[in-house]
Amino acid sequence: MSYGQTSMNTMNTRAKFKSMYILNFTKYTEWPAAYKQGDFVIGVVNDDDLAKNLEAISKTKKINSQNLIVKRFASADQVTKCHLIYIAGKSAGEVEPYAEKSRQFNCLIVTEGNGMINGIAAINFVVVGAQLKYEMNKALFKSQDLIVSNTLENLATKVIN
Amino acid sequence: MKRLVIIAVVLFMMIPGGLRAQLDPVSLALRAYQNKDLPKARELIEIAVGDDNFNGITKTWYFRGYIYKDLFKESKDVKIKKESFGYREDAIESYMKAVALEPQGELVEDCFNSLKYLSSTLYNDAAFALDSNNFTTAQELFDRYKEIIAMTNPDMDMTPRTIEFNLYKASKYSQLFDNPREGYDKEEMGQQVIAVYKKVLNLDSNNISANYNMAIHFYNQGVNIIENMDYEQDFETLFMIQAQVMDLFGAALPYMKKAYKLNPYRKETLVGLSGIYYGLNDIETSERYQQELKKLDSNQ
Repeated sequence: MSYGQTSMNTMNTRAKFKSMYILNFTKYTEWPAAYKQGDFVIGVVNDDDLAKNLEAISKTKKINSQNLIVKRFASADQVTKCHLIYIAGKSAGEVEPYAEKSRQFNCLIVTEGNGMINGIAAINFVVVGAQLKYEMNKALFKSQDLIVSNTLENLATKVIN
Repeated sequence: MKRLVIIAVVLFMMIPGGLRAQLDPVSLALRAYQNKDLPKARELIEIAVGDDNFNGITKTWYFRGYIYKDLFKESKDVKIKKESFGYREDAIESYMKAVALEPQGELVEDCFNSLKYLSSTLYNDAAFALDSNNFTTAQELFDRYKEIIAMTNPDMDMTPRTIEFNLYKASKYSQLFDNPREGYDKEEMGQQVIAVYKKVLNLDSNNISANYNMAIHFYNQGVNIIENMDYEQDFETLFMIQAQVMDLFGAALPYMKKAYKLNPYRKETLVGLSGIYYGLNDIETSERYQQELKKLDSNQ
């Protein structure tokens, strides 16, 4: 009898969860009037799997009635106007150049890493009891002219005002 | 066959002349058997076993065993398995009866050899039954196989065979769980996968295949849930699904860790551990196993 071996599904599980979080962030954030027309742009830095997920979504879904466009940035110089940018990076030094460029726009900056919520990102992914959650910095929403709903605030594990 | 003919001739000679002259049904059955007329041999041997003058005689059951064994051999390639299986069962019962009548008799060894052959066909048919997802029949055939081995070879350790059978059974359940088919309930298939691997692990907790496959079964369930998630899910649903998925990844972890402990140099296990830890959002540990994998690759 040949019983073989069960194949492992190699999907990137975190990328799917992150993309779902990101879509929910857009539901509970309001951008200035000028950003409510044209395409809805999400920028992705250093996370191909997340970009692929978002690109797949962009084929069928709209965000706030706007077409979703995903842009991948390989350097801070490439960063252009985005509604939201996800910057993957292990250190503040790695993330900050992209964040700095993004601040030129009314862009919601999302990261994942210790300390990123202190002055770099408005939303930072954190792991709580093996689950992916998020913390938020309200001041950084405000500085980007973004209005955040109470729902997003209430579900955050930590809120910095 | 040659051995049977010799034994048959000897036994035939032992039958008192008067009785032989009456052409008793056993002798007639033997004659029909030698003439390769199996239907006639069967008819006559059934007359013999229904006759109190013959049904207490060892050779009656011994010959009956041979007749049904040959009927089984002739019919085993046809599609009507039920008929073929019935002949085999009649052969088994006959040999067992022959042994029971004369446990120390000269025919015992020959009966056991035939029973061993029949048991091997039971084992093979159990595997064929699993091939076609006929789980109940497979289990019945395997149980019968074990009964015969317990009689003919009582010292044989059946654990390896039982593990082999159950690993194959679990892999078939797993296939039906991953690729649902009409007539098979996905949930039940999933429960069976776990139950059968647990059975194997109860027999041998160090079985690497059972540990690895059990882990993958839990892990893949979690991944399947994520794959099928709608991007429109709200936060509440997202949190709920995430908790459910983490439970599954958490259930996979101890089995994969055990597989790793049993063989730390197995690539699949390192990939599995890295994937599970990644799913559990423990990136540091996930990367540690990735490094081990890279090291292993570079050493090969």
